[in-house]
Amino acid sequence: MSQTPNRIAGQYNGEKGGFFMLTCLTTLLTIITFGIYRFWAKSRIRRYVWSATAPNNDPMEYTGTGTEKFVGFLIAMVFLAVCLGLVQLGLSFLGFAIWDTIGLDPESPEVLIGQAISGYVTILAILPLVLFARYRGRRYMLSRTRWRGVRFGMDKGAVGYALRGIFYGFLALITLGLLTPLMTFKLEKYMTDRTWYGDAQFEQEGSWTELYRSAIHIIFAALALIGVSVLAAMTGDDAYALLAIPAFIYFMISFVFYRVDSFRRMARNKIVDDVMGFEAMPQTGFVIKTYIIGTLLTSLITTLAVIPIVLVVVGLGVSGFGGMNAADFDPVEMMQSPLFLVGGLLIVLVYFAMLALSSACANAFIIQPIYGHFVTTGALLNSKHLNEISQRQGDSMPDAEGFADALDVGGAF
Amino acid sequence: MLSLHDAPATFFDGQKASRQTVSVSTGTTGMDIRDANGALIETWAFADIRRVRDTGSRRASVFYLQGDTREARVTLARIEDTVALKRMAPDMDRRPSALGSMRKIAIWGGAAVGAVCLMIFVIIPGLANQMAGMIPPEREQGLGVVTLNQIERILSDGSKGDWDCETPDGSAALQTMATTMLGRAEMPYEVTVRVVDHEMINAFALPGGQVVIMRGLLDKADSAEEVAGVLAHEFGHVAARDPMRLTLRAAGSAGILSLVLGDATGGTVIALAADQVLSASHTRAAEANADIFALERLKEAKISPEAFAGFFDKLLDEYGDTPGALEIFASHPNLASRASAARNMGAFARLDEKVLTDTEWAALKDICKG
Repeated sequence: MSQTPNRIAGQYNGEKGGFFMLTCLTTLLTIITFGIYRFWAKSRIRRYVWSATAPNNDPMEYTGTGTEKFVGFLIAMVFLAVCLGLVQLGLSFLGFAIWDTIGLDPESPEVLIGQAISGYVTILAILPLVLFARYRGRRYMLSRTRWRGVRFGMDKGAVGYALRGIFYGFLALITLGLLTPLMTFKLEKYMTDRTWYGDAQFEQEGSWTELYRSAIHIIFAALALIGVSVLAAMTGDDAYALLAIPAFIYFMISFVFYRVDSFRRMARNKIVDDVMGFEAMPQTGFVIKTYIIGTLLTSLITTLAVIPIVLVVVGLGVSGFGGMNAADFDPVEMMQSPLFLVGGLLIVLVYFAMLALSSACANAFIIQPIYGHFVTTGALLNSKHLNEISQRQGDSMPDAEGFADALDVGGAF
Repeated sequence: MLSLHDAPATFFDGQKASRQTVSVSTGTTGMDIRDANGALIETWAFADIRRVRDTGSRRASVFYLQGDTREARVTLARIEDTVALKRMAPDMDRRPSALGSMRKIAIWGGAAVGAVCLMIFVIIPGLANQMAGMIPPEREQGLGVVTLNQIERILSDGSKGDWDCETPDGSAALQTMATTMLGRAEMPYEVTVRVVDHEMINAFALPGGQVVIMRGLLDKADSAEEVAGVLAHEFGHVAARDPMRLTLRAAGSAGILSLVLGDATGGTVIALAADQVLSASHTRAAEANADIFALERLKEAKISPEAFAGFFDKLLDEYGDTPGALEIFASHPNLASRASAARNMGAFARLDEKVLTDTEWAALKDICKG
């Protein structure tokens, strides 16, 4: 038996090139199959990312399959078709039957507010489903994740998660976001406390009030924005309005800081089997820098790649129609010409290629580096305890993460 | 190198999270896995060795044994060892048969398509019809007013002026025509008819029993009977509460369609097309029923359906018919077939009543010049 060190640092071996090729290929396949391949695409990308995550040189493994996900999507579809159809119909009926629009101008505030409210009501009506889907999605993902030959897993509890999500979400809403840390912490704790690695259970310790340290910048930024607006309104001076720009940038950054810092605090307070703990030191600056550079690279590469194709299309157009007088120009004849068809087809192809390219760039230059940063700045403590952990029963989950796929819930991977 | 001899590897037995450093050697039929002391742990038959796909490492490869319920894993750290093993176990990248999963996909795919179809074609239309009857008429009228205001805004380039056409004689003639065409037909609520000043050759019914005729239609018509036929057709929509039913139905179907085709890349185009086909098929049935209603009204008023048929011919000349394949996208039935249906109806009866006197018809045609 080999030595297992007592501290295992996170390690990520993923490469930009390999990941770029994989995401480019799978996105193209997804486009030409009208979206059906997306289940297989997601499984393949996870297999890559998981296996590139190799603490102590032992790669993690993702065992989910595209077929399993596709079947899960179909199962979810059977339930959701009924649910969502009825919800939409019922809501529009209530809207028409209750909302009084007699004699109102369509752009009057009453009508606009009514439309806005009905939009929110639709979101609220499917919120329980979204939360349900998020929990089941995480449970599926964990049940298909292995490290050192042992499965992760999660107890059943999607309904409880949905109920808590609605409750804490409501609290956060009526306190104008002041209780958001409570929601973040309680929902993460609900999931963590039901998470297993083999026969070892995870537990979320710590307190929700600690997350106010993560939220401190959001509060400052909000105050700054309010202050600048009040000053601008009171003095009528445009100089104060200009100050709103840095205040707004600060506001955006403060949200990234909240995500990163709350992750860090909660990760440090997770323990496994009462023995193993975690280190987590992700940097907000790295995340923001990667995001900005990645976005610039993505647009640059996509634009550069498209220029030659656009030139070809324009060239075709000029050679085909350039000799004609404006007087002879017949739109019907033009639309029937083979050149027009070829041009149209080319434009569609270019559009699809651009989609695939920008998605692959975003994955390779933004998502993967940020994920890798979170992995490599983390570590598992007291890891000798791993040798005591045994395998757990598999979790079949026939619906896989079909609900999450159907409702488009889920993270980057 | 043709075989592996004591290649360094890692072994996980699938039972414990402990890791074993092992050495791997190839024999004649299988791969021997030995622990650090050289003791044989197990032998994997070459035919059953499989490699994990899409790994994020260019060097290390992970292997498992097909059919192994413990799901043990061996990791070969060096790429050359994997190359050597591939020679002995050429099937390592073979994929399992997809037959079993195809059956599952077929079953659940059928169930999903069935559920979506059941909702879109049976449950939602049924509920929409029920609900349309439950909406209070005054609410429906309010909805109609709002919709008409929006239509006016769109058609008259954003300005909401006064586009209602009224003259004392013209309005009286319109009222006479409406009363004649309504006859003894039962309507769910009071019906109002108006002419608006727009050159489009069109007429439509709005929620709450409001029927709108556009000036272009009066200009194009050669006789009052042609307009009477169109008016009776719109009354058919009012009688069936079509505007409300179809609005509710579209709302329900849209929820499902966006779910089915939602986040697929490029799926928006398909979703739009599917929505168009779906709502068109709903409305085509409603249009056909409104035609039947109109022909019955014409018969009762003893007006020849020939004029109604003639108007379809006129539209056909003006716009042409939707070619066959595109017909599923069209919201109205084929014009030629509508005209011939109207003629069949008139063939067996001598119907030659006039709906308006010549003076009344002239007043109606000039209603927007007041």
